[in-house]
Amino acid sequence: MAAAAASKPFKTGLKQIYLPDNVITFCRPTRESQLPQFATFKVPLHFNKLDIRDYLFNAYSVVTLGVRSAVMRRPVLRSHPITQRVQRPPSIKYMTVELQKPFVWPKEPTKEELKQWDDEATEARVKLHEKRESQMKNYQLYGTIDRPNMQKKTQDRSLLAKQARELVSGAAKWDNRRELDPKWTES
Amino acid sequence: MAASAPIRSSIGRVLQPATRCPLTTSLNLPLRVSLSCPPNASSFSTTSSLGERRPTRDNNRLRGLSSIYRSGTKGRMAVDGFATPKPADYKPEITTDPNHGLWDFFYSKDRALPLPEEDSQHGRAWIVEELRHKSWEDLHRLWWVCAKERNRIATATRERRRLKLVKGEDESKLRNYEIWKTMKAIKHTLTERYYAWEDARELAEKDPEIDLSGEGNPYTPRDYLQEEEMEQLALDSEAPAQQGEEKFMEEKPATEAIDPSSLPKTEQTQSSPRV
Repeated sequence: MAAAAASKPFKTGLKQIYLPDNVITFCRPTRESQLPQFATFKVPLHFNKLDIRDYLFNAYSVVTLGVRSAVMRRPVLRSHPITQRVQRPPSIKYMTVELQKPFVWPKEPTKEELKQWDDEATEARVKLHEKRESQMKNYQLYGTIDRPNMQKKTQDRSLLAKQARELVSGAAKWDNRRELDPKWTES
Repeated sequence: MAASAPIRSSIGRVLQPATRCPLTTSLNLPLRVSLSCPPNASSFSTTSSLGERRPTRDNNRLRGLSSIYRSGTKGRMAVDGFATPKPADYKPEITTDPNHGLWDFFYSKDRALPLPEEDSQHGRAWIVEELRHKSWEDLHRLWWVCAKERNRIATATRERRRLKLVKGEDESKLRNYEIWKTMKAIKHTLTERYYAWEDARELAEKDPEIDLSGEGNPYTPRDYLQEEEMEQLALDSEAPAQQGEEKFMEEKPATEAIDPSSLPKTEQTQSSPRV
């Protein structure tokens, strides 16, 4: 903190804040085209552009050239499962600062690396949970029931159906690829 | 509405660095822009990645075409027949400074998200008793260490949610909880210190030895021995007047000579004058 204060490239604020309890989240750029000269942060709603500039300068010794801020409104939620009360959660403020020195985020983990966190079983469990949730939601909102027999037929099931049809029509003969013992043949 | 079109075309430029785009910083923005570029001009950048960044920014598939003919340019032009040069598909490789301040938002430079094992490698929080012995400078520094750690945890949590990972969330929460406890302990210590200071100030206001005016020496200790002697003298002079009276619970000095060995030890200590 003190080292950066030696040479200030801009005029910083005079109000001294000793014990701030703000949490600033560094966000990975969502767009490929965002230049490395920009960094996006999720900040508390009361933050202004000067706040983030001085915060980054004093706490992280990062010099910024400009700030753009955006307040993202969030969709309404049914906050209570029984009363179905509609509430809108508080908005989220994002600030994109222009950096003096470019910064590139660490590379995204590959599929192999991701197994260090979640193994396949956990992943399958999460997927199943998500599916159940979407079924519940569909039923509650639109009244649609997602039964297994309404699901799209898998390749296995369609192959089985085809084989059964052939067997019934007599086009194919049942065979388990084993020679039957002669004692079982009808004389 | 006529003025909004040039503004809209300039919105795309917002994402470019301010140093490259002097128009956005100039005053009288709508006027200047409308003079410098015609309303149907599309934004252009020699950097190919920037040129393609928002191909359908206003959902108009006829952007850039003539509204009357729905075609290209009207008449023949001098450049007809020449292939239009295309900007090279070139993206410069940017290396981040290893001492960049934003690395403090990560645990390591290799990955944005720490492994759950790494996340759980932490000790317990500072307790109030330990912090009572620390100076304000130390406590302030510790607070900022905690604040930056919380930012680091928030960044990792956001990354974990984005990748929809389950493992590691509990470890992260526990880590955050220890930080929270430390921060609470710091506030507790400082509040205690403030109350102690308040009480000390109240005492000092009553104390004749302490001068709170802020001028001169704040503490001038008195000579107790001298004071006692003075009191003794005063008592001696008033002695004949007070001879007959007897005060409540007054301790009288032993006038009769008692053999100390005849008394039990406890009584002896009680009867001896207090120091």
